[in-house]
Amino acid sequence: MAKYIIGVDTGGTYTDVCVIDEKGYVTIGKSPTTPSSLEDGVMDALENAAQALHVSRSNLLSDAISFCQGTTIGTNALINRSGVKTGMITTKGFEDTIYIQRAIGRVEGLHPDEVRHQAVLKKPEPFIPKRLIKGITERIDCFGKVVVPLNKKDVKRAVNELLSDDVKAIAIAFLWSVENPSHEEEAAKIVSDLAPDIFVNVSHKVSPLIREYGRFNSVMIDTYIGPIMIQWYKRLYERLKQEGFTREMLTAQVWGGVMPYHAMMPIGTINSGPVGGVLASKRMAEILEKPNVITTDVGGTSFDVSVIAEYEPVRGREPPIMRYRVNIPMVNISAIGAGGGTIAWVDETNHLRVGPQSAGALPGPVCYGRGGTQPCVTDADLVLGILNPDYYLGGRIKLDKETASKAVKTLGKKIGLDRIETAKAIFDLQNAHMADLLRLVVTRSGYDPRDFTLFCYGGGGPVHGAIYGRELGFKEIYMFENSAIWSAFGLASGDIIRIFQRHRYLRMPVNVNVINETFTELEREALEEMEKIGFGREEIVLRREMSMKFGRQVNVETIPVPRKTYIEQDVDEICNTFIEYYRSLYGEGAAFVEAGMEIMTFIIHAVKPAILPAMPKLGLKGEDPSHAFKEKRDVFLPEFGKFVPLNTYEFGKLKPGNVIVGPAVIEAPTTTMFILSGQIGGVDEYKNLKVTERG
Amino acid sequence: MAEKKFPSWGEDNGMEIGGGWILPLNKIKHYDKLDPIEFDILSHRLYSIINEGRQAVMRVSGSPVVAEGGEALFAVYDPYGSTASLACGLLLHVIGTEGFIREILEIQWDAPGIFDGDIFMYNEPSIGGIHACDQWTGTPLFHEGELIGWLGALTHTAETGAIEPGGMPPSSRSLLHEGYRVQGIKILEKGKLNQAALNCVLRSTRDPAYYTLDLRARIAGLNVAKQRIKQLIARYGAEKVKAVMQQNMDHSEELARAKLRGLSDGTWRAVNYGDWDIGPEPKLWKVVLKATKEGDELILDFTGSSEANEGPVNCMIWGTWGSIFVAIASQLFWEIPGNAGMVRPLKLIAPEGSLTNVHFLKPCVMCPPLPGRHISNVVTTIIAKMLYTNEKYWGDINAPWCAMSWMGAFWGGATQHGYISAGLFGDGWARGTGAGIDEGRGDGCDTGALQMTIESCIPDVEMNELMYPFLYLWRREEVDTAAPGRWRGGASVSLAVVPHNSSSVTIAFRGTGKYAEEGQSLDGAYPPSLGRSGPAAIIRLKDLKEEMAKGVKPDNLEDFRNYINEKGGKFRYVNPFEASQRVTENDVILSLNAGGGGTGDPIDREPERVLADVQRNIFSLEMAREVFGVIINPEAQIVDEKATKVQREKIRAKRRERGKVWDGE
Amino acid sequence: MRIHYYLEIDNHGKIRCLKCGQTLCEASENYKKHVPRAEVWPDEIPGQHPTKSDALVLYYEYYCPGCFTLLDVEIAEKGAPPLWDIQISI
Repeated sequence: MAKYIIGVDTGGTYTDVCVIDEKGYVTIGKSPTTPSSLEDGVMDALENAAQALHVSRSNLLSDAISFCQGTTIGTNALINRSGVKTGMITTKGFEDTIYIQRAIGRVEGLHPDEVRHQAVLKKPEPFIPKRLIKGITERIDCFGKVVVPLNKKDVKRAVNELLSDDVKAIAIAFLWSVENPSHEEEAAKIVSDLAPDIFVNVSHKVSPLIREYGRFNSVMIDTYIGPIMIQWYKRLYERLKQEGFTREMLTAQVWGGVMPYHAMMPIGTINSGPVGGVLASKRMAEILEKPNVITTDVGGTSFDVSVIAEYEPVRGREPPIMRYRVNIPMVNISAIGAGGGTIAWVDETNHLRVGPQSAGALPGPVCYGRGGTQPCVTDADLVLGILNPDYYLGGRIKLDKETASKAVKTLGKKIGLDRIETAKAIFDLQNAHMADLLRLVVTRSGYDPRDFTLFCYGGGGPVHGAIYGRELGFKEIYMFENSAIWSAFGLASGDIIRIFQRHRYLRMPVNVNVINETFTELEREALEEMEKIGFGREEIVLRREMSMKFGRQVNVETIPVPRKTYIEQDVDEICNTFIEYYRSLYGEGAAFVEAGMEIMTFIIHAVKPAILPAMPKLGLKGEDPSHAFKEKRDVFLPEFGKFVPLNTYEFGKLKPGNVIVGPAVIEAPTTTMFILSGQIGGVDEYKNLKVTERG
Repeated sequence: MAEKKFPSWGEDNGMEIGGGWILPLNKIKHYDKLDPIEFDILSHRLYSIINEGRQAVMRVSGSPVVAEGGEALFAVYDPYGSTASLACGLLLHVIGTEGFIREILEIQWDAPGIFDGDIFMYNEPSIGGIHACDQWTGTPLFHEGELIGWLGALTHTAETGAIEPGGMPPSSRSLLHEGYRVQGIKILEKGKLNQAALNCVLRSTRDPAYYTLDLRARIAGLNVAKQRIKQLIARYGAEKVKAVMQQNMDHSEELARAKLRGLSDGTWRAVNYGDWDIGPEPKLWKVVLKATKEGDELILDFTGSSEANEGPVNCMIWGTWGSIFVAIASQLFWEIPGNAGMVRPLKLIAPEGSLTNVHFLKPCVMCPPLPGRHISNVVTTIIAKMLYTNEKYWGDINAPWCAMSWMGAFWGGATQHGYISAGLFGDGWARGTGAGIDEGRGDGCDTGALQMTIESCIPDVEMNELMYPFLYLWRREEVDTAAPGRWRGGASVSLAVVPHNSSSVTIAFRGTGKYAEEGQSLDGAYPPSLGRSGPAAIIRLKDLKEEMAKGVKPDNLEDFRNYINEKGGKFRYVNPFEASQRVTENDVILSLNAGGGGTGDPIDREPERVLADVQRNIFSLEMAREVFGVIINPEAQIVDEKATKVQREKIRAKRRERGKVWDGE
Repeated sequence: MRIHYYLEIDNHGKIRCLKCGQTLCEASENYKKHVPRAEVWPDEIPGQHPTKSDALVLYYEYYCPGCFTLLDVEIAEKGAPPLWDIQISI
């Protein structure tokens, strides 16, 4: 009896399906995304995969043991402002919190060049109009003490006003609810009693951390998109069940895991595409036994970078969702506008620039022939000979090299460069931007690129990866044939993870019992919650972290801590780990130990590891790759400054063990791999391409 | 700038400086130009490194204004101290720190000498920086014995051992009252901490931990950037790195001059007023600017500005430059990479002895807001007017951003956690920005920024309440603070706080706006006001905490009045400036900020927009009616179009009636 | 050439209102000396302003003589001559 593990990623243009069978083999399905009813695109893509497997779609689904769906619905609801009509109940005097946005909302999420243009900057508009924000008389202080008791009449009045304005959801957000949730809980009960059909959300559940701007934004977004997400997932689930699916449907969560959809945090589904890519990288890292990986994804519009350290994706502090700061643990994905569709242009000072604007998928690069007139990175790649115009997307799209060349030439005329010089300049600038971001991400996390392995995926990752990989001194650069459905693969193989946090401000020295009690309490809550969702306690693996800072500081750093009952020495150990970590980030002299250390947050990861078949390991077949040789093609090599005839190979024909000596181009249906002179590309037992420097 | 001959050993000579040598100034200025692509890549890389340094400073710091407000300057300078590339949240400091490096070179090249691993400390406002709160640490960059540049990091530390806590004492009457002043001593010598030098500061401040943490933050930034620059040199070679530093500045100069050439020649004038010096009576003072643009040069002449004030409302020359730079870098040359080249086309005339260029030992600690804001305002005003002369730039025209701020800004005392500290309420950074015009932004941004801090960020209420012994009653976008105009300015924040869980706390006020309006608007808009909760005050409410425990929470001015009538207490209106005074758990401290300037005649604003403003609590119904001429039906929430037409005619008629051409008197 | 939200210098070297076309004066002159102005105390405007007894400066409102559009609200001392804020070199 077949056992399929299915991952589905609904992207902007395509819906991708990844099916892993019981032997670990991957089958792909792809179909255009159907924006008006996304579930149709999902079913189409499943059909496509089923055909490739030579089974019916209902057989595929009834034999599936796991199904994970990532989607852009949440993101789209935010972009299109099509969430549900939401009201907010908050502490009187602080109704403007999501409007003031700590002032920083004015620049949050903008590119540094945009930030300089101070004369025009605007804040993003919150999703709750001011008239639907009701202030309540109540107040709790930083110690959790009730300073002003909750005025229940106020709450009732507020709810009735919101109901008469026809809101569909209410977010409750009081100051210091993370220290003392009683007021939020009481208010939530009043709302539920008065309006049982309304979706109610409380800020201390969505984000149990202090700092109200991020928390209020988090509950605002979670509430605004919540009902829509829940509705859509229910609809999809019904469709799947109709076709025979009998298991739990899972969804991506932005902290780097998956969850059963009925227990999901709606705000956690934002950005599921890139998160899927990180999950896939995590899985591959485990398979290859590389604990430290930098992931790079070159898509149409953006270049996304994230870090996996000790097999764990690194999470951001106060990350933004679009331009809204939230307090949700999120896999830290740094992005710049440097994708295949990024536009090359000449600015007012007659300098060639690349990005950050993108031509997207429509019209896309000039060579797509969809009406694009501005040359993009992909056009430059084509002019330089790296891309094969007849084999793009497995031949599905014929690239128009002539028109692309003309566009590049026209651009070059503005700055006195010929066609090739212009294409080279675009290529160089693009690579420099990517290298800069990569460097920033890696070094900012305190890591040394030489200790990390580089993964390159997305349509354009393997095109540029050898260059930015070499630039930063990576010893191993991996490129993947399946990189175009990388996200779906990640979703299929993701672990179930839920993160539990408790804000507790403690200044060292802290009685070790307090630390033990807090963790015990938090773990109990975590296990209870996971049980409620439907997992057995014995299935759950728990991990601990703490967010700490030095006295007077504002920003915290998060470190893993061992899971045990602590004695005094253990606490000293933890403090030393923190100091060391701090040193690695900021150097000698930066750790102000004398100011004392403080704990801000206790964190538990509750993980139910995915049960996956082993990835098929193929036997090594010898080094000679000539059976996969396609043709010689003239490709512009940056290190020689001229066109050189290179070997091109067909990836599908390569065998594990084959070694390709650079410079060379390897073409796969969904991506092109470019390796430089001085590099060699070895195909490993999993049919990944591993690029290393020779000698 | 200072016309002393620098360097004293001549522009054609080099010098041994202890840890190596410095090339002649003239040699450094001549370099092999990098080709455009290489220049782009290298200058961007250099900027990334500097920005990384700044991020490191921000992450380690304990100052909310630094860590959250982004108020840190990080820069790389050429060997003689010209800023080659900078990353800053705070535009005030862009070139003002160059004086520190020049003095280090001049007086320390021989004894004690300058060595790799030295980190120098400065906060002397007559040499650089702005006021004693601004702590600069810098380190030389040597490559194989040659001094190829410097790195500098600067942060504002809101506690300097001045005569009042909080770093900016309103009662200062001399630079000697404004805290410790470090004169370029080495805090690290060849990489080793000089504890004695550090003690000079630690034993002169109320909160040594605060200083130390920020020092470590700056050191962290310097460490990070120094390492990256070494890697950059290893990758590209020292000659190219030296070249990109110079080319950066020349490139910016080129761009600045080109932009000036694209604007009409002419003279523009602007004035901004302040209303307080040392009291007990108000004192009117003013900043006067005559800006003349000829070809590719801009002359900024502050002749006519008031004489130096007796209190700390003064700027030394670096403070004036900094405040000018705030406007120039954010409004005029925003697209030009920030470095010393950007200011080369500018000439400054700041009469000695005026409040734009006070003599040594005059008090000047208030400089960044006062008269710094005024200086930024008049420069912003003339920039806006200049930009009208070239259609290309209409989208960038902004009314002045800065307006009155009257706040109980500085506190000191015991925190709820038991230790002594002091600080600054950073909420004042959430101010309305100036409006643009049709081709640009239109309305200003509400609670968006202080012009001098391009990534303005205020702390969360919860963060302030965790670190400071205060409880907020409110923090909101205050109604009627935005300047009314065809395009309105942004609204600003007002707040009310009360001491909480502390045995002893003091508060000091600084402000303007009780007697004279500071913030101008542009081309027919009215100036912004302080809103409807003012004037600033300390409001004592009898047994406040007990009453709050019973469910009584005052939320606005009317609540305060009712409370006082029913339960007791009193309003104490404060002067614009008031020195630190004790406040109790029953004292509400009310702080106000005016909004950003507007543009154009308010009766030209579309009535639907005014309705939206009222619904958003930006303007009151009264403002809508009296100034915009828009009549709104409050129950139906719609505009009465007929009545609006009539009202606007009435306003015009009033103008006709009272307007008289100036008769020369 | 535009010089103000509402004003331009026309082809005849005169300063002109963009809204109603009214000519105000020569470009080499201070337009504020050729248009009606009115003295207005700040507290006439809603919001927190210095009271009449406190105010050390007030507003001078300048109007276009053609359409009475408010051209500028100048903060100045009482009796001060109009500020020559725009003086284009011709």
